[in-house]
Amino acid sequence: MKKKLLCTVMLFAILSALAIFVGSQTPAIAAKGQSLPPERKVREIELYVTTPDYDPIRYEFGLMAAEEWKKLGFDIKVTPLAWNRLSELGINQKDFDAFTLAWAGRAERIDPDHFVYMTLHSSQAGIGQYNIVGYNNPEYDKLAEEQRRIGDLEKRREIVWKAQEIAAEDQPYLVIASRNWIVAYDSANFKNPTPMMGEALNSFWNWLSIEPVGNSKEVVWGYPSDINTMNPLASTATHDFQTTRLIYDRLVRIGPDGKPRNWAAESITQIDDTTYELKLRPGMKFHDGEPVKASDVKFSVDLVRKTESPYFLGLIKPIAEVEIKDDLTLIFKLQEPFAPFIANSLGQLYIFPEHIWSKILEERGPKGTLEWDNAQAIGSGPFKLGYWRRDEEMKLVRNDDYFQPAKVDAIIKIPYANVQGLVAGLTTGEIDVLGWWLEPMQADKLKDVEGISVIEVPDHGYYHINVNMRRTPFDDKAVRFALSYAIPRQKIIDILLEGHGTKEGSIIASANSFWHNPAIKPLPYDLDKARQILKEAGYEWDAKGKIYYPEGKVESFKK
Amino acid sequence: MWNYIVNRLFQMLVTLLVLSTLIFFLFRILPGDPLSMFIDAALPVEAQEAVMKQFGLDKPLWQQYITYMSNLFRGEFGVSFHYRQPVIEIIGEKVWSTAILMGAALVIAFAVGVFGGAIMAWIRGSKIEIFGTALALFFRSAPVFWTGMVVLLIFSYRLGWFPAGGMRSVGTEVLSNWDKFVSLDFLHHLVLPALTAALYYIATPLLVMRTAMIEVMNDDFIEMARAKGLSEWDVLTRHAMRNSLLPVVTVLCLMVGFAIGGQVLVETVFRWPGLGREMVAAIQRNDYPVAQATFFLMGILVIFLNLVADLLYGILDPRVTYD
Repeated sequence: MKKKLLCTVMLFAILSALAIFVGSQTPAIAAKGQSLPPERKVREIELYVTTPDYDPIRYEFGLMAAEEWKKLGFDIKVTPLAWNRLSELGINQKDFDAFTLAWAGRAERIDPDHFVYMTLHSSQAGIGQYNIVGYNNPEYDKLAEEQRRIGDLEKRREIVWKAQEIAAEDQPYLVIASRNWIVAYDSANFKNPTPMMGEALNSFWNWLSIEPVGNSKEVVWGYPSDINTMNPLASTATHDFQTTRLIYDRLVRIGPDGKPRNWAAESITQIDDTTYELKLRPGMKFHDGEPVKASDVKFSVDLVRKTESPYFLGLIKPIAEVEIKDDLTLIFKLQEPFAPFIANSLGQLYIFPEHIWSKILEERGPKGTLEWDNAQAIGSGPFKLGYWRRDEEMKLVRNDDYFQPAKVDAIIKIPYANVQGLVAGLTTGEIDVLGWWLEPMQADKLKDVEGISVIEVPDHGYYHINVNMRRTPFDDKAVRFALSYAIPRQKIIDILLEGHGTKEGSIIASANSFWHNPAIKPLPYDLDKARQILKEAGYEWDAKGKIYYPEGKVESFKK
Repeated sequence: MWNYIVNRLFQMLVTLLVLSTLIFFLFRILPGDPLSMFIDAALPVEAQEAVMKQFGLDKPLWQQYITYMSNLFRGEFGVSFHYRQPVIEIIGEKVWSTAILMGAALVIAFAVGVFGGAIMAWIRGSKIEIFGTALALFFRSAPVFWTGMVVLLIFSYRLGWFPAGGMRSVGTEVLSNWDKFVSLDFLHHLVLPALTAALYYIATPLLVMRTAMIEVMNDDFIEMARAKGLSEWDVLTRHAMRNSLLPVVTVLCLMVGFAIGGQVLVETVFRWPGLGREMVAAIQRNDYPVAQATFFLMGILVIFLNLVADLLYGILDPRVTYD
């Protein structure tokens, strides 16, 4: 009886302590005027998040940010949307207040052009384009344009660093954290994997370096879905290219360190601002024995133009003209100076065999070529296509004639229906290389499985929150800064990523060490600072702690 | 009889017309648009417009509808937005994978269900009957993915008798379509998913058969058969069961029609590359052509099998005529 009473008293004490503690935090700044005009009240903000089953992280950190923002006096309504709806409203129509997004760390995003130009230059704010927030700063625009013109890596980096500084001062979108990929492979049977930022074990280099230790010379690669098409001209999905780039070769490939390397091209010489001479590596052959010639490269560019291949078309856009000098030498003329050309155009384009595709183009026409199944894909890459049974299995056989032959006899690729199946496959020994990332809990379990190694790979993609600068209240820098200070970055990493992530503050993530500006630090979680910024900008709070625009500003946006 | 069939075929045609129209508009009412699914791949605006044009999405809805219907009359389902390949190529193979899996499951379910149901009715009230019915209902109510995982846990992970998923062993090369589906390896992979789906299906034929049998067993002709001195077995199989089959046939035809849509969960748990997964994925991606084709196939099958069921009545029960 006594015990019960004691418990009750203790509980009461704890509760009241809690109430005082929480209570002392919430009412932001004591209201001075109860009679703030209603037209100055900041409207309710709708924060879109993904559905929890599409991406639990983007869902949860949205909720966490909203909780903090409410403490600043904002009315926040969180709405989960299916991804197709979210991308339609957010990226296409740009009809949103704020939404959570993740930039995937793709190979072509290692070059800073995506983050510096595509996501923030004012010309990129149209329908479906990537300047989602509607950022428009002429000073910034100048730098974003300039970095495209300068070929010299060091000089270009200086400008890219400057651009990052300006972006950090404007906070156009609120950068939060990058996530480390936790991946695993069968170390009992294979050694020497080469993971890469953004791609982990799906990296191109991994398939050249991975080496059998035991009897199984064929490495089994598990991925949670199959590729969509074997026809690269019709592909748009990252994973399609991660697969077909093993069959088709590229002139330049981005190394694991993030710097472009000459690959099928032996040398690339810049003749003037807009002219490059490219020499092909001699002795390369397609899988059917035909030699790789300069004419195949020129044809590949033409093929993309004629068929309007959606993905490649954008990449070859800077190219004005391709001339054949001799069997192995080409001259590339550009429309205008464009520095990302080597990494992003030459580094993405495939070399298509002219003797095969010219026939298809003639027989089926441009549209028919896009719809061709290319079931017996012939390229000049390190692996030949053995067979492909959609949604079941694919076999890629080593090309022994390749100039840097792989160490495994073949890759067998198995598409799973979901990630759980993939993890089970790794545990039972059905697969050797995990093409997806593990949740920390899954990783802990796999660590105990004998013969499996778990490794962690940083990513240059990151989570962030877009705020629509075309609308009040996000047109005000003070509001963006306050919201950014109120994001509990460390808590998000600790709780949602279970520590497997890095706080980010710049538009180029820290994993991309060559381009990332180390002077820019992530903003700390600091509600007082956030309130102070708002107060200094003239924002006021009513008795209930709701926030009002500074004198002279009224709510002008209506849904 | 022939008059009846011609009449029914004409009705089918009208039904199909309505169905295909419904399907067309239904998918377009769904939120989101197919283009937003491609956004992720850094498509420039011009390329997006090119894609719109390629798939005729830039035209007004009624024009799209006319194109769709005229394609349908020529037996064409168009080109998948997602795969950028003719729909037939995408779903052609999957129809077979699913048909074999579901065929096997339905054969097991109906063989066990029909005989089981008959016996349940015959031994009505016994402990075995109560237990059997409860068991069938249990598997009917349990989520299929759960049943699948339990089956996997026991027969694959613990006992190691069967593979954990897929249609063939890793690294199997197949040279012909015949090779693909006719091999011990394939059968070995088929057992667990077919069994899982069958466990789910069993309750329906079992309960329908049991109810029908109970009704028949009270009829005079059963008494008569017994009076003739026929053995219990003969009375059960030749008189009682045959007369109870009608409702089971109706159920069978309906189930076959829907089965072509596959069992998404079974296909997912057992990594079976079937039509069910494709169907769900197509809807999520707003891949109208694939979604339309799969639903249309399913519709055609249900309607056609309804006709088959009606015709079968005449064979099973000579009292049914078609005049």
